[in-house]
Amino acid sequence: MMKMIDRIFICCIYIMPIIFFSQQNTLTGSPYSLFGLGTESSSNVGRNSGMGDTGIAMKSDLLLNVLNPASFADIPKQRFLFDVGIYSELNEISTSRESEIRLTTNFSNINFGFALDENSGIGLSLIPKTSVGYSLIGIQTSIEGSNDQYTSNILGEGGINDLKLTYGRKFFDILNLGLYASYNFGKIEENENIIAGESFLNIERENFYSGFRFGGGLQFEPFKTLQLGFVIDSPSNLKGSRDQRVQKSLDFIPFEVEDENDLDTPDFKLPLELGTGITYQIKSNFFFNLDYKRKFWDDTKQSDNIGDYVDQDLMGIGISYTTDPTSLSYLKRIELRGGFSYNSGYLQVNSEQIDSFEGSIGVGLPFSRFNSVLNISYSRGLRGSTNGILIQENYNLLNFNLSFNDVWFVKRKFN
Amino acid sequence: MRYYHFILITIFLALSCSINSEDVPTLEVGQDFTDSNTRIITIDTFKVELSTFKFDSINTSSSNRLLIGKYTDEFFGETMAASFMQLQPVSYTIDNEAELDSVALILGYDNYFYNDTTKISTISIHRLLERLRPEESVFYNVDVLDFDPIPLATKEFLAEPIDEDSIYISLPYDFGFELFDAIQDDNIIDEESLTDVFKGFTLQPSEEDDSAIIGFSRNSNQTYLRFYYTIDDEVVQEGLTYDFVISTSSSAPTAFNQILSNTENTLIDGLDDQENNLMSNTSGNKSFIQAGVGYATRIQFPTIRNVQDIIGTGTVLSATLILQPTAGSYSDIRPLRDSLVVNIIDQNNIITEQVSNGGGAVFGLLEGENSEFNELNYTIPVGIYIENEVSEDFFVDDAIIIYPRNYNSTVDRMILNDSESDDIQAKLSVIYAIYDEND
Repeated sequence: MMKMIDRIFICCIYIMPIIFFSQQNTLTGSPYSLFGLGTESSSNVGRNSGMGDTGIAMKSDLLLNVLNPASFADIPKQRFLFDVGIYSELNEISTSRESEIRLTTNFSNINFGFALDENSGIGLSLIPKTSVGYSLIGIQTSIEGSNDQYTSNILGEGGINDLKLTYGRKFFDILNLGLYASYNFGKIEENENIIAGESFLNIERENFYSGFRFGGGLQFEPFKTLQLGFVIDSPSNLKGSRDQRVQKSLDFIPFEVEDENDLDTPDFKLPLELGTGITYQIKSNFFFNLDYKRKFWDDTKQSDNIGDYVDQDLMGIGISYTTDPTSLSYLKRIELRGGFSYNSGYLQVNSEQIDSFEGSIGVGLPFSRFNSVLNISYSRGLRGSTNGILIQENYNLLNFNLSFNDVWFVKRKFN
Repeated sequence: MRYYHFILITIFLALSCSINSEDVPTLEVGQDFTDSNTRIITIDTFKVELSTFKFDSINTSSSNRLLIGKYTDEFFGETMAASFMQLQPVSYTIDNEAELDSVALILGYDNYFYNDTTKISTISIHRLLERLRPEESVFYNVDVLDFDPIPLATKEFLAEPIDEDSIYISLPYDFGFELFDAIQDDNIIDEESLTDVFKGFTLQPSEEDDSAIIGFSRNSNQTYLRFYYTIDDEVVQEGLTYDFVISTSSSAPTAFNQILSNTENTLIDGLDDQENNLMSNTSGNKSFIQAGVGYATRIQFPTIRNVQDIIGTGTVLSATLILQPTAGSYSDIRPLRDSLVVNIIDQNNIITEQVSNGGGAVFGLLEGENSEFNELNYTIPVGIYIENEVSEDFFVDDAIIIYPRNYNSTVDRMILNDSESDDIQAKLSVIYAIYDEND
């Protein structure tokens, strides 16, 4: 029992600084992060990133799979799984007129998981859920009622994080059930400064969101080579509150117009999400995933200035191949991955949905005795379009991720 | 095992920190879909209420200018300026052998004039019958002193305040000899003994003049009473002079200007109490300003607090008052001045403070001199004043008052259109930002 507390303590040491930093950072360069709570984060655990973000039916035997809580039941006894990563995002953004490149780098995830006993496992993870990072500079807008214009700069940053406690249990060897409770929290800052003639207006808004969400998952193994998975995420309400500070300069004298905390701001509703997936083991060293997930945004009845939220579909396929996992040759133990996914997006602007396609490749480089893996994946995606006022974004994601796999419950014979 | 975790945490923290220092990228594309709810609007429908009032008195003894002259115009009637001054010598000693030749008053132009200098002006020099001893150590434009109605001398002339330095007015020899002799004989030895004999001059225009009001300097090297004398026993006879000047060493005032007007048959006739306001809609949709005499324009914005009724939360970003001088009311000889003083006055028309902003005192600036139709107007940044008016809990019955600079030493005048004028109207242009749509 002491060991257990010890372990949880270590987990906490890891998690704390990340909670802190994840509150601060700009996690993306995507202009689409202007809407809602930002763009859905590209963060994921190493293996899934390389396989088109698929894995609803995959086990968490050697590598953690956070896509389905039921998979935690498969964490081998006496094993401690730990996964931490960063990613870089290179966005090439273009409108019908111009284009621009920008780079952001950030923390991607941190996960722990270990078996409680033969049939159950538990895990804790922290993953950015959405991320915001935009700066619109030098926007010219007409002053209503005159021929003059004012200039404004709008900057946003922040994001919502997902701290999740997961529990999975195995029934009758072929059925896993899992549950999770997660706490979504984060801060989205928006700073708007306006220059009208010789006057300035600066509006700083800090929007805080937090809320709990629950969900569950199921994995079923009718044949040794075939697994089916289902997941459900409950609708959730993220309670919003806002700190607002408004300053201006009028005739060259600075004024504080407003400085208020805990103002009401509309809550943000997360939709019901249902997902299903298949993992087919073509050979013992060759896996194939197929996932489908739907997020029921229609029912949240939310909209943004520019468009409405509509039901979102996510589809993905992925494969992984290892020449020989038990070979003495290092090259033969490298796991190769590939995948492709489509995300219909949830924002509809002028009856056009901001969708994205993404292809990914990855490798799992084993190291150390206990199947620890360095996962590297590269994804390239295309989001939006240059129609009308829209922006097309080519993004390149590079994901580095360490999966530690440690034996904890074995007494050492030598020290 | 333990140090393994330690290393990891360290690496991870280092990574997090290096990531954190990254800047937000600058977005050149994507402006088209900002989700900003902020609106910036211009409102120029707030009422601008002009009225004219007249200061009971203006301190004219503190200026460095003598104003003399008289003219008539259709808006202000007859405007008249006369000067009162005390003159005294620098020293009370004159050589006993000196013999007076002549005496004259020299008035040095200081380049100021108002109205028509191509018509003949008259200056009559009268001896004062009472001393310049003010009650409150200040003389006002409405003050007057007893003087001998029979002038010592009268000069008719065409003023050339720009092209010439001064005018020369000969005075009777008897007048000069009386003073010269008394000083030689030590009958006049100081200011007291001087003022028993000679209290000073007043310079009066003629009742019939309709020319210009002209400014002369008070400086002792430009304006002086000069005694020309010679000393006989000297080998070479030289013209010698002995001067009386307007003293500046005295703490009491030594000169002032009386500036009056007769407004009979004008729109502003009858306005005589400082607390009375003549609303522009009862004076031909115009308001009036005349320096020296004491007319000033008072401006209120009675509906400005309605800005709070605009839906949403917002704030004033700027406010500019634009005033339109009435076409035809100004000309080369009745010019508009470049800048106006802007003050705040209370409900009794007492000045409480000067309007200022972050750049210092605010002035109304004349603009449009080079515009297509030469439409002149004054623009006054009144943002701070408007901000205060809007943020007061209750309506405060104060106002903005405008008048030309050098208000106590000129007769500059101006007529302004109000906000209901048939011509170009006075207006207040407010730029207002609504940053939250809901209150």
